[in-house]
Amino acid sequence: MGKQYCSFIVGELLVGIEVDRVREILTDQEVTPVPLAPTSVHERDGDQPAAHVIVVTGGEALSLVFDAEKEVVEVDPATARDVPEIIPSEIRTLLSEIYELADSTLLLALDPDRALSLIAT
Amino acid sequence: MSDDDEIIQAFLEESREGLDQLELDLIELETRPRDPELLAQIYRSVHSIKGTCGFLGYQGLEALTHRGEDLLDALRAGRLAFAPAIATSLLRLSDAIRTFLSAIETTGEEGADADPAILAELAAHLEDRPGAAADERPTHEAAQPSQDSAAPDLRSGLHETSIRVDVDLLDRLMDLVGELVLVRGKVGDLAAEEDGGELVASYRQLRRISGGLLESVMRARLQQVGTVTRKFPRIARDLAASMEKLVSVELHGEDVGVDRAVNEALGDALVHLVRNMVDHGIESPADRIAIGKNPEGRLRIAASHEGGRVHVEVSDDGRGIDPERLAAGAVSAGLISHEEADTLDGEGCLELIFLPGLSTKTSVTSVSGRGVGMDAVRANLERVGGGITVASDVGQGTVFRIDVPLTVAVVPTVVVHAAGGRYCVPQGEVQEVVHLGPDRARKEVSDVSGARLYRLRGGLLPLFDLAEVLGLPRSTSSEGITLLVLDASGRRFGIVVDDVGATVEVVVKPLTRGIRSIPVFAGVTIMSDGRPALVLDPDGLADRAGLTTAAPAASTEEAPVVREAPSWLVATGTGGRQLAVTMSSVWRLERLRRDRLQRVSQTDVIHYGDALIPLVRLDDDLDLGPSAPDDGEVDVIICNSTAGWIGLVVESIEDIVPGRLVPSAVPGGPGMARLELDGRLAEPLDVEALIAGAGVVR
Repeated sequence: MGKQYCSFIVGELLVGIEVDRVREILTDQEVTPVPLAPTSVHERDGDQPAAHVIVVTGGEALSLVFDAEKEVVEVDPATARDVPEIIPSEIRTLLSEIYELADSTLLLALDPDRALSLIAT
Repeated sequence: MSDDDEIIQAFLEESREGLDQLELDLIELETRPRDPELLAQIYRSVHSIKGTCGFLGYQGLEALTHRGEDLLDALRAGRLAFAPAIATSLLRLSDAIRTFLSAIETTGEEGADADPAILAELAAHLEDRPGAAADERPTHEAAQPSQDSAAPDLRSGLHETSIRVDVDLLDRLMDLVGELVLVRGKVGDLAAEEDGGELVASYRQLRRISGGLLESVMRARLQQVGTVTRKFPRIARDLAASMEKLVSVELHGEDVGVDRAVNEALGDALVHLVRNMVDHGIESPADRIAIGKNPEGRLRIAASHEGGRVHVEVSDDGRGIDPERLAAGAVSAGLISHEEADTLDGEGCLELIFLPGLSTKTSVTSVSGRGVGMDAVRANLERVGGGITVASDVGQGTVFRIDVPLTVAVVPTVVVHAAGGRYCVPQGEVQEVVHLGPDRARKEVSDVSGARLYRLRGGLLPLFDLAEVLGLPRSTSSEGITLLVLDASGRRFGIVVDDVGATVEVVVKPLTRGIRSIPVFAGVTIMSDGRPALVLDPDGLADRAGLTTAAPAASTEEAPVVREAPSWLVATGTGGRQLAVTMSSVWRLERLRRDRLQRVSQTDVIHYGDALIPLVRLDDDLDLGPSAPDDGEVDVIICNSTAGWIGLVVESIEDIVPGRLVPSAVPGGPGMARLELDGRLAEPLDVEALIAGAGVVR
């Protein structure tokens, strides 16, 4: 039985979040900026189209913003690989594992619980 | 739900409440073993459970409670002397009854019979008594106090004035009312566009009705703090017993009402605090006797109401928290650096207790001491809009002060715009809204080395640009200045905004983790257009704005907040010395041309309105002599006090620093003091003495 991931594009990366963890995907959301908030990994241009992926972690909803939404992919958990240390640590800390897809692109499996560490102080 | 189910449900709930009270009373009994009223109350609690389970046909439970009733009856009639062991057995009885109740709740059946051990234990106490004889005992009917003869509640449904409501339903009601208030705001916007008309009248009606509804729902959600605090005498007693300590808990303000969601958060926090206090705070009886304390440690949980907030003080008379040990612990855990630790005072050290991952206890017990907890306690309280502080005297005890809102908040706020964003300011803290045209702005707002001051009815109000405080680009407008005069716990200041909108009532929701710790925001709300807006916290704004005049803090940790600290105007005197004048005595800052000064006998004076104000030049000798007669302009601080007026001629005006002057031990410098917030040296001037010295009589 394979594991299903919703996949998203951010920058040049293909990122996956386990289907069960995704509560909702919203597009065309108006974003209210919070001054003095810690900056996240990427600064985004507000006018760009975006996919807001709502996940629940630590009892609170969190929206992870991606450039675009892609299809659901199924992977074999046995093919999971460790996240190589060469990946910059600010990204690496968010990832649980990496899969190589049939077309040899890499799917970076993101752990929503760790995403909170981006903003949690 | 069938009728039977409802009756059983009611029985379960009532029994549990009865047991809560029973446990509390039993612990009370240890201090007042012969109090007949208390014994009667305990007896009634048990009897009422027994009566109902007889009615519902729970025979096992009935037999168990019967045995307890026998024991209590003997106590009540004085045939048996109270002993702590009896209280312990009765508490076990309470546990055994709870086991039955759980079984009934999950399976609908009693399940297994009562543990024979507890039955035997209860009986054993009775057998202990000398000369016991069964026939001495009066019948139950005769023994019952008169109040007890009333049937249990569920058989007298005719006269009930209260009903039980599912808490989920209450939560849902609150959510719905919150949404209703939002829609009401939207309708209000529409009505505002229509001048007069039926919509306006209907809106007024809607406003009144929904306001009443909101208040009623809020009140329906109020719960007594006691429902939470009453558990603690038992918790503390059991905990203490397991550690061979003696602890009693004193409760105050049990009838203070608070929203149930808030009460829940309060309960969680109290569990942590009480455990920590019993485990770490209270010494062993031997240690306590050795230092002259009562062998029994005392905990106190006191709740009180104050202005829409509930304060709960949890204190112990234990060993207290040693700030230095705490700081050392934080350093060795790598939470702060040595340098940071050195800058902390006692209060700052105690604050460290709320850092994640800190524990001073060297050994980990099963109860607490794993270094998790206090940070979670604070976070949970903040989630409901509350807070917690700690104070401690080594050897004397520790007190935690919790402060939570009475209800989930619906607050009137003023909408302001700044740097393209929209923010809400709680109306309670807005004193006035002022718009100054370009001319007035130039005249009434002074720029003192980057700090702006607004002359508001004789006072000088520090002004901050909201955009700037929020770290956003400051808008440059030539259209004058719009500002809000805020009062944050006694600190008055003005914030400059681009525009002020309507006053709206909003439901404030807490911010999510990560952004919750930004002190300038109290929460977030959904506006009538469906978009979120951040709610500002004037206290946080004041802290943050105050920080910009001091050295930037090294960490993002909360800056030390000096409440009620006066602001000081720092200036350089004519001799180059740093002077400070408390802002409360500063009337105006003037830049005067020399030719406006007039000499009268030995003193320079200026005409100021109708008055002649003497000027003093504060040179190296603090000589009250005339100012140097050179050309150009001079900066004058015009002060007034009850003693009269005086103008201080200074070289330049530097800054306004909120902070306390603390005496510094500079030998030979009697007047020298240190400005606490930025560590700068400045000399505080006694304006009254100067006025007296200048010989001014008014």
